[in-house]
Amino acid sequence: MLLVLTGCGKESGREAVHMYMWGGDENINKYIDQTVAPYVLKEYDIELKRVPMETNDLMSKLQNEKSVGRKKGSIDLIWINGAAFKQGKENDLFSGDLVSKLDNAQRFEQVLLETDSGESIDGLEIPWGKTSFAFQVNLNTVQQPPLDIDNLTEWIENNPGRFTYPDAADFTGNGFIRELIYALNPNQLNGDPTVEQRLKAYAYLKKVKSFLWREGKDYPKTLQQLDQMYASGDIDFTMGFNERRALPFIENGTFHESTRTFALNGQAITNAHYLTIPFNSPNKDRALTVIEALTNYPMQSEKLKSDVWGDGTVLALDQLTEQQQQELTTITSTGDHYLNEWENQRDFSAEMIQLIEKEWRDYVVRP
Amino acid sequence: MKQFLLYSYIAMLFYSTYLFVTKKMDFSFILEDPSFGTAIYYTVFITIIIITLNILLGVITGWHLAKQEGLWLDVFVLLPLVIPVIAVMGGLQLGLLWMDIPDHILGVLLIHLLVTLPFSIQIFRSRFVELEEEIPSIVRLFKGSNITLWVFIYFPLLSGSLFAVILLTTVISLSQYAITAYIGGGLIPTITTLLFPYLQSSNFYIVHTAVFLLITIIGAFAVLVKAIILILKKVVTSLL
Amino acid sequence: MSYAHKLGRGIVFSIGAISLFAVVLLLIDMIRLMELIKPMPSGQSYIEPLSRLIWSALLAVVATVFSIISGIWIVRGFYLQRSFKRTIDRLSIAFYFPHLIVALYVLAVANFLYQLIDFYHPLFGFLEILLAYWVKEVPFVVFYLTVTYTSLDLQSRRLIQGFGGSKWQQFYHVEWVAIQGQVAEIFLILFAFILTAYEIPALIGSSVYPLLGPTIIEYYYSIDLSERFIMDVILLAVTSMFVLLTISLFAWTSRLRHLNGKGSRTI
Repeated sequence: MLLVLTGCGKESGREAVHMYMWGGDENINKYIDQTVAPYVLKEYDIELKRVPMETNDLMSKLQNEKSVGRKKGSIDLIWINGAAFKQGKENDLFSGDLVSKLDNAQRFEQVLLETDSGESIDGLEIPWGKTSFAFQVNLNTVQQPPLDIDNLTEWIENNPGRFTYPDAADFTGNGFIRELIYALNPNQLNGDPTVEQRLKAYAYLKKVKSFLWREGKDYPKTLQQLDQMYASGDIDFTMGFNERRALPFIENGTFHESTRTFALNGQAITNAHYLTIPFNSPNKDRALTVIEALTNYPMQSEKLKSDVWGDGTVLALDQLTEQQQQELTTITSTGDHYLNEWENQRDFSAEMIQLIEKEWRDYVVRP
Repeated sequence: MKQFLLYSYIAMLFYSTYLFVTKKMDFSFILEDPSFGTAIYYTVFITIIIITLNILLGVITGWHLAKQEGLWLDVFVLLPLVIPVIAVMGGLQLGLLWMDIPDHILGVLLIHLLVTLPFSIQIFRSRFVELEEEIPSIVRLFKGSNITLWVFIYFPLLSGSLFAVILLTTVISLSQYAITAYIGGGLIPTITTLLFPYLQSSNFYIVHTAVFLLITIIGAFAVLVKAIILILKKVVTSLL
Repeated sequence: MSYAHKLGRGIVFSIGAISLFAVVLLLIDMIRLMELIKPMPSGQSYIEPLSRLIWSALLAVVATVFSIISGIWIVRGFYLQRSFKRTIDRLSIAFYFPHLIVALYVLAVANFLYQLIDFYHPLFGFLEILLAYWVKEVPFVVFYLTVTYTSLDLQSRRLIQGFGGSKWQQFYHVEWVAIQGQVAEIFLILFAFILTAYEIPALIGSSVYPLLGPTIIEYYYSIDLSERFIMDVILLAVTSMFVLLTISLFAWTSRLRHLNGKGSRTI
């Protein structure tokens, strides 16, 4: 027993690289465990271990470790988004400029290296994937899917109880309101919305409230609950970041085959998600090698496959070889899955996202 | 109540078999998880240690409290139950960091003990209060040793409480997702930390599978414990 | 005092002390945060979490009282019929299910019912949580009170009956006197637990007022450090309140025991 207590499962010699990331999606988990881990083991002789943990929790863990001055932490690599990035940057939780250490920073879409949710990146994190906010609709029940806001309103009013969105405390529910702010203020937004622009969205949500599922008196707590309701046919729409999210679900039978994806008003909030190394990672060099592997063509194209994860690539097309470009086009082709095309829109700042959650509860939910 | 639960479990079993045969349900998501082996190992390890400590410490403390009363004793036993678990967890997380043993199984064991031990103490205490106070002196009168007292008298008398303590401890320990994940820093995977994210999956069948597995584990464990205690009791009484 | 007694006492004090110590660490965390946060959170930012605290406290009180009343009623019912031992054993099995699974079941049943009656009211979210806690906590109350009831002296009950006392008087003078200390103890345990528990309100409930459990996690692990500070303050306040409540409860019951002579304190 003493052996167990002191050993704690850590073999000396070659320590594994611990990658901490949100773990609620079996496709993403499988991609890391069954595609990436064997790949880095084979190519670089690095053992990669995935540790499931919510982003906020691991940021708080790093914050604690920073404050007591723990030099050798347990986290080597984290998957991160805008809000957490801002906190980490302000409190010095990252290990410094990573972009300059990479072999070839030119391969990325350069705009992704500039800002993350309005916060300048300064090389502290490296883009891993890119997704757009999109809606999924079941064509079996909705013959003429409403692709713009006016048609959607009309549809909601004609089909009471068949549409809803997750609580704004949920990542996706909040994204829906941001999407709505874009749709209701066409060509007016540059950066964060003003109070008037936000109020338009809240007024709209209040107007359609009584036509929503449970008459807008209750909202699904999480995107997963919304997805389950969609899958069982209680409602006709679901939504989420990642325009390809429906494809693996159709493949494994969770969603109906007649599920199609569209962007409201041809506008989609697009945000990238990133990888970075904490200030006290015990394996910084090898973690960087893993980042290198994750952002190189083989792993990026694998990730894009709809039966794997379906997450967008961060590589710039013009930096790829002719053959790779062709391969990507075949992989990205989704047949008739998309109902329309869209323009990418910038996401709001982390503070704005928090503010929207509070305002939504005050203006929309509590009358 | 028991019948109702049994029937609903049987219904669930049929439904699960149906899903399994139609290939809607499969266990690949959990079986293919690379930390599956470690998770089983840690779950068994933590459960065994926690049960052992709960019985040992619970019996001694319960016996003590049945004989002695005091305002501060009562207050201190109840504190771990009354102070919000998250407050204790937050503080403990910092404390373990300062002592330089974060993400360690010791912390996980400590917090699991903290949330289970008060219940075990109360269960044993109430049983000891119930028992005749004269038992030890009677045993002494017949020149019985302490071993006779505990093995042949107290063990059969306490077996009901023992079953309750073991099962309750296991269930509480198995349902602690948050504290296991945070105190263990994600490095101490258990069946619970592995299954919990799937209880909120988009795929209803995966949710169903996760619930089914958890219930089956607990049910199988309950039957096992009951059988072991029954056999031990038989053995002890046959020795008399 | 024998060695074993000393050990028992040591264990009791250790578990209490560790819990208290953890809370003291939280206080240190709070002081540390004060240096990190540039503008301290204004009084206004406490309103939302406090209103959730009050809402949760309300729910916790209702759920607790409800569970205790049904628990007492069940124990008495089965006790007076003299067949209670086996029934209690059967009941106690619900006790052995994790809260999360109970929540999932309630969620499934509730969704089914709403579709059946085709109606929803925001109050239903409240009822869902109430139901989940009720199912989960009644066996706990029964379990806790069983011992007292087995050792209760029923003769005095018949005496009151003989003098023409009403059913309520029988209950009040014989049973309530014996169980009031314990009921207060159960109330405290359940109230403290339901107020801050995470699993059930994370899955069910309404969007209008999210309950305290998920709020604690949301604030404590927030990317905004001032929210963590707010939650530290609230957690410390709640903790001190509970510690004080516990002390006064036992001060009261020990006085009670003193008044009743030898007293029938069990559990």
